[in-house]
Order: sequence, then C-alpha cells, then structure tokens
Amino acid sequence: MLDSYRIRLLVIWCVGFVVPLLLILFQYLSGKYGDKWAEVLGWLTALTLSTISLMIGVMVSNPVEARDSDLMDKPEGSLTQKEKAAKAVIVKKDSHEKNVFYIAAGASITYLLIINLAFFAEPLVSEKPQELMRDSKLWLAIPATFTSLLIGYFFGKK
Amino acid sequence: MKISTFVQIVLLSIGGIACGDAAMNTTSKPANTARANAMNTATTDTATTNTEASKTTSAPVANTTAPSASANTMKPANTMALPTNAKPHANGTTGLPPPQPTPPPTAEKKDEGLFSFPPPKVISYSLVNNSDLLNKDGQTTFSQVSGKLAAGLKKAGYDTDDKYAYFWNEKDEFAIVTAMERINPDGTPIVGDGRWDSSTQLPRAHTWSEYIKYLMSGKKIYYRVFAFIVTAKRAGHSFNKGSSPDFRMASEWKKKGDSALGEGESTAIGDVIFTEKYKCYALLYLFVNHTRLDSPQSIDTLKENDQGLTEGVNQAAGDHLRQTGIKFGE
Repeated sequence: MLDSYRIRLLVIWCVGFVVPLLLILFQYLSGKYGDKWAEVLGWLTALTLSTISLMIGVMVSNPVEARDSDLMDKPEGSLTQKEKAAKAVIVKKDSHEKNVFYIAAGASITYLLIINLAFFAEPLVSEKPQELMRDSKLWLAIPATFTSLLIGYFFGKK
Repeated sequence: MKISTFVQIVLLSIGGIACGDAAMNTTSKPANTARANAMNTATTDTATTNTEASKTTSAPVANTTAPSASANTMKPANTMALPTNAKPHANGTTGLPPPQPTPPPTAEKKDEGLFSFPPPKVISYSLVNNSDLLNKDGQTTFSQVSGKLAAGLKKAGYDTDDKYAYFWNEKDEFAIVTAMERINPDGTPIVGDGRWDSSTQLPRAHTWSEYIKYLMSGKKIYYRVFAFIVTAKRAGHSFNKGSSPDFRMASEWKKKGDSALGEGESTAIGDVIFTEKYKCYALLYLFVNHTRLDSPQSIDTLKENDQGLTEGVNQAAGDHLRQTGIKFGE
C-alpha cells in the first residue's frame, strides 16, 4: 500500500510540474518572457523539482518490502489468534496510511494548484507573472509546510 | 517517524520559505536603485542638453521681452529669489557661526521633469499647416494659435483642460503637450476611461482569444503623448536628436505644465505675433509596456531582443493625428 501511495503522490507532483513546464516552453518559444525566461523557470523548479527528486531518490534507494500477502488473503476462519491480531494491526495501519495519503494528496494538489495559478491566472489580472510569483510565496507558505510534513511521512518510512 | 523529526521538517520548510522571501527582497532592491539612477541619469541628460542648447540659441530674438539667465526655461520663468536670512545674525551674541546661505536651486533642478526646449527625441513628427493656424484677416498672436490648437484637441477628445498643458520659454517658443494616453497599435485611442490611465498596469483578458494571446505571448499596451511645438528656431530633423524621454517623466509633463499660455512672469509670450517664420510641429512620443519589460519604455529605446514589441504599431505622427481625429483650423 505504501508503495502505491508513494507512486500516486509522485504522479500528482509530476503532473503539477510538467504542465507549467510545457507552458513555459511554449511561452519561451513565443517570446513572452524575453530574456527573463530563466527567472520564471527557476521559480518553478525551485518549488517543485527538489521534492520530486527526493521522492524518486527515496523510491529507488529505499523500496518498500512486499507485505505478507498470504496473511491478508487467508479466510478469517483459518487464522490463528496471533495471525488475527497481526492482521488487525495491518488493517488499522492501512486505514491510517490511507487517511494520511488523502490529506497528503489534498495538500499537494493545493500547493501545485497555487503554483499553476501563477501561470494560468496571469492573463486575467493586471500584474506581471514575476509579481504574481513573488506574491504567491505568501500563499504557498502554509501548503508547503503541510506538504513537506506529509510527504516526509510517506517517503521517510522504511 | 518521530514527532521531533516532523517538527524539524516543519521548521526547515518555514525557514526555507522565509529565506526565499528574504532573497527576493534583497535582489529587488538593487533593481529599484538602478531604476532610480537611470531616472536621474535621464534627467541629467536632458539638463545637459538644455544647457548645450542654451549656448547655441543665445542669439538675440526680436520679440524676447525678458532676457533671462536661464534662456532655456521651459515654463514661465518664476524668478528664483535668492534666499535671504530672515533673522539677521546677531554678531557676537550667540557665539555661533553665521548661518550659511542656502545655495539657490540650480537650473537643472528647477527644470527637472518639464517638457524641454529642445524637445526630447521624438518617434516621428509632422508639420501642421500654418494656414490652419493663421487668422484669415489681420495678425495672429501666439495666444490665438494656442487657442486654435486647444480647440482642435478638444474636438478630438482632449476635452478638458487636464488633458493637455502648456510650456514655453523666453525665446518665443511654446508647446502644448497632451496627457499620457493608452492607444491601440493603429494609433486610435482606447475607448473608455482606460484611455487616460497612465499607470503601468497591464490589460486583463476579457475574452478567450485575449486569454490565449496573453497567456502565450504576454500582455502589451502602448502609450502616447503628443507635443505641438510652435517655433522659429528648430527644423524638423532636429527633433530626432537627443535622448528619448523617460516614461515617468513624460507622464508627468501634463501635471507640470500650465493650464494656459502666458501665466507667470513672461506674460508677453501670448502676444508674440505668429508670422510665416514660425512653424508648428506635431511631435509623437510612443511608449510600450509588456510582460517582459520592467516598466514602460519609449519604443526607440528597446533592446535588440525586444524590438519585436514594435511590430505592427503605427509610428507615423501624421497617421496618429488622423486616427485620433485631431484637425486644426476648421
């Protein structure tokens, strides 16, 4: 389960990073930022790429061990008292991880949406993208804190 | 994971964001300073030009009524009274050294931000027919010429006195300078109140096509200032010399000018007879602001990489006059 959550979180982060990255590429080709494109790309990568690298690094270097699937697949009646107790612990742990995953996914999506909004909402306001990026740092502070905390829960575990 | 490890991660995250903000603030300061320095440099350049011009245009003029040390003064020459000490120093009573008189403001300081003679470098200019400004019978004074210019402007939407301002010097030259306005690339003014918005804010998208355009290629807005200068001393090609005006300075011209010709000390400017030797030129100043620019710039000062921003914009003064509906003598 943990591996599945890790992969799902990584997918969320990759989508949240690749979409604005492609937009920056198109904007660069159409000359929107002139010689300021590196500043914009730097802002995006600084806020996302470090977390994505961390996720990939942890997944490669610290893969989750396969769980004893026999225990979970066995019929309830054939389990010993010890096995029942072990299964109950696993079920409780899974439920806890699932809840934390939903919170982590929500925080990540919120965080990445704010980052994407700096790009996609910019035509609707009078400010320049650089100004929006500077202002969005304030809004990113709280989700960034929670996201780091929750990502750490999944990717810090052995 | 232990709670203490979580707390450490949280603190590190907050610390990282705070450092990021601090870095951004630190890096933004030099940019502002640089901009301020650039403005000062621009002002100095203008002042230097004025000083040079005053040397070259110091020939006596028949209609000059008030010879002045600052021949290149751009507004009515408010005499700069030398500061006097209101309280005479009581010698020996206080033991304090006598107060030093404050140095008089320099000509450069006084003229800062005003429309200058010679005018800043233009994008283009157009000659206004003298026949449109001369009276059908009898002599025409500068006051009457300025009245005709103002009437033409009023008909074209510069309908209140705060849409243009007067500048003149003591060498029988005057100029009517319009307020900074937002225009379309073809030279037509933007419809509505947005026309007179001289702020540096960029437009917002209201339609899907605008959204896609702004998203992919950035937001762009053009600004314009007209200056109608009446002079006997300058040929058209001289307006292509010097340095281009700074956007902030040009947007201040309207505020710094006067609401009528002839106020102040050199009231005789309005009584000068407008003869065939005088010419009236319409000078065009164009500025552009874009997502990629730090602030609006004159379109002839753009860097080579930004030259594409001038594509499709009409740069002929005559076309701008027509597109705006400015006509004189009708």
